[in-house]
Amino acid sequence: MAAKFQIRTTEENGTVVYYVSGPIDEESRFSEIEQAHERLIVDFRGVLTINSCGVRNWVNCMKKIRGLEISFRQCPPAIVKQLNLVPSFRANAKVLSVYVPYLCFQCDHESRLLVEMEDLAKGKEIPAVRKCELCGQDEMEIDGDESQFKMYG
Amino acid sequence: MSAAPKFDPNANDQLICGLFSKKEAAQLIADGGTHIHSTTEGYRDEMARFTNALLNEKNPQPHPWQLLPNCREVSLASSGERYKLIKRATVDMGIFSRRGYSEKVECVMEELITNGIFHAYVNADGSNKYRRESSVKLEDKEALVVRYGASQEGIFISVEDKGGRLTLEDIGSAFYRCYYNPDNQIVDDEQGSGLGLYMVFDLVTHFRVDVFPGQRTVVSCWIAGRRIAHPSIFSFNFFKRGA
Repeated sequence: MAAKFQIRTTEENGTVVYYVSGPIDEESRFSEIEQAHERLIVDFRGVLTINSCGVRNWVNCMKKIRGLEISFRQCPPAIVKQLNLVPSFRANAKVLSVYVPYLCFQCDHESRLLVEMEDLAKGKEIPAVRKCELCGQDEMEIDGDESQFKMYG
Repeated sequence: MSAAPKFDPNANDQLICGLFSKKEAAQLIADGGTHIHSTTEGYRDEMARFTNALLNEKNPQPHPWQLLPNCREVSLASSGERYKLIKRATVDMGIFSRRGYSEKVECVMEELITNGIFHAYVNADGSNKYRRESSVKLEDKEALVVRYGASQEGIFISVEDKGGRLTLEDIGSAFYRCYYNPDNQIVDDEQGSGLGLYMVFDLVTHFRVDVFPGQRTVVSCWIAGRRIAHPSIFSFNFFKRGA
């Protein structure tokens, strides 16, 4: 069965965290987030795809919560792509962490590495090559342009 | 040996070769450029030479990356069926479990299909026939034709509508707005966001549009395999037939 778009809410240390998951498209509504009135974190880990109308709906949501302290975390590549393509997708939000995709040039295995922006800001590098957990070769390289994952600052 | 043609924004069907970013290519397209190849080989590039040979043809042949003989062809007449079709395509092409690749393919297919459904057909007064806010069933004669195929080198996708309304000006203005006006990229329109073709162009290696005005539009794309793809190697081609 196809995954459905949903938003789940929890609280962590006094901050509301919104877990967005599923495909984001023209039918996706962010009313829970739009009603936020204090700082918030949006966790994008569960997002599968996002289309152009989904981007528009999200940007409209961001306009409604302009002025709040907003952080994005666990952004998968589909979200990172939009963060790079559409500046208003991020607006004034701080990106805390992103998933960097790797592809094994030996066996085509894919994996993702969670990278904290705080670590990058302190000088830690995104590994250019990783060991493939499937074939064991040091052949996993970043799938895409490394610079697009550096979202600190 | 003939000299490389110079770009004349007032002329049609001229080939422009160089090493560009997609943003720079967007400027050329917005200025009226119809055939843009970004390549390290300049005018000697195989694909650019292929384009050059097509420029004066009345019915330009497909580019070599258009895997038409080997691809699957599916008819789509309902907006609600598109997710199923896209998922099936990723399975057929053997990339379903390859997330990075399948995400790109899904994005390209989704944007091209929704463009076809919601922008290709108009009422007599010129307004859009189908509204994006609801599920749409196209008339039989309006059904889209979606083609896709995979090879070791990459993925081919094309979507054909029966409206024939896409213009170079539409594409150029959308690209220019999205690449050069970051504060006004999005069109807040019930029919769409104005981002779709920009998102597709950003993802693909080769992008070709064949418009038969008032009859049909075919948008074709090639996504080079990730071991081959390079962000500076790409092409844009716009052919208007019967012009």
